[in-house]
Amino acid sequence: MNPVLPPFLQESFDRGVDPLDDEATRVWLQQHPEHLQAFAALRATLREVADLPPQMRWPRRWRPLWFLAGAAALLVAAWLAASSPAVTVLPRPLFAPRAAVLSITTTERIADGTRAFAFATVQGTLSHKASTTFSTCSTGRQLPTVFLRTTVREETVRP
Amino acid sequence: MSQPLTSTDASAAVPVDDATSFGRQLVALAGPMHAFLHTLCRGGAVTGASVDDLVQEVMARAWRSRTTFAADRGTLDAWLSRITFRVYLDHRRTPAASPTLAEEPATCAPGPLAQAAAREQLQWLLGRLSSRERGVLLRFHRDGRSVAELAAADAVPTGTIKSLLHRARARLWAAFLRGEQP
Repeated sequence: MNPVLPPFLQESFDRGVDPLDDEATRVWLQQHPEHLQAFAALRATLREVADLPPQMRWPRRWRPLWFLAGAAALLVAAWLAASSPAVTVLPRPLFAPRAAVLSITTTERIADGTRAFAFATVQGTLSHKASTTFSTCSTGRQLPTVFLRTTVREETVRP
Repeated sequence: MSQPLTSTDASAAVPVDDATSFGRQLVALAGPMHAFLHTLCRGGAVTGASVDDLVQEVMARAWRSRTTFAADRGTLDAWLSRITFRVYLDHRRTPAASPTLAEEPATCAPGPLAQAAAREQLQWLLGRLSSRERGVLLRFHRDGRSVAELAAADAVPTGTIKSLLHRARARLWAAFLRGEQP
């Protein structure tokens, strides 16, 4: 079925007249009864458009292009996620069982961009700890901003 | 009934079994023809008859001229649609024959439910047009502005406005041909 609206029907609508006022159109429609239903629906629709209120909301058109773009973006994201290297799991330190720990030494050093640093040591057993701290002043010379924190934990365990 | 008959006394020429079968097929198409007439009336009212009256007339005419139907020249649906269309044309309110006070008013106005359904379908159809096509279509058919006025308002050639209008109508036409529904 030809979906093209015949030009003479377009012209009738352009002139703002009922196409059925034209004898040639009436004859054509009777010769093409397969178009009668579509013609009646179009004529009725255009007539009813006149009764529409000025303020009316229209549903958004479904745009296949947008849908395809979204699907493509999802595919790319999935491909990137699949092709990136697996997250490396850091090895867990082999801490001794809690009952085997005789003493602990934790040393923490903090340095910043002023070259000053702080040094703290915690030493003792699980039930008794002693801490020592040591810090320096800034030299006044600014270095590139680097903040460094180092923590070293040492355990003495039963043999 | 592949051979069209020319006799005016159709009841004598058509075998009873065929006539009964034909009658059943006509009755089965009464509903679609009612809907078709209703759509035609939405586009332009009729005078002095209701849609039900017109359906009766369609069925009577179809029965009287049943010998002219030839299955090899088209479907019964198309044949009956043509008769329905002629009946509508005979009753259509034309500008030349405006209704008078003595005439019975047209009674094919849809009920509230049908109106709501028609409005919903109209909104759905217009929503499928691009915003430019819809805007031009509404300003032309709803606001009654001419092509020249629209062209001047949008500062575009009249050909652009016509093109948008024609494209919008062609989209609606194609949707109707395909029988698309919301």
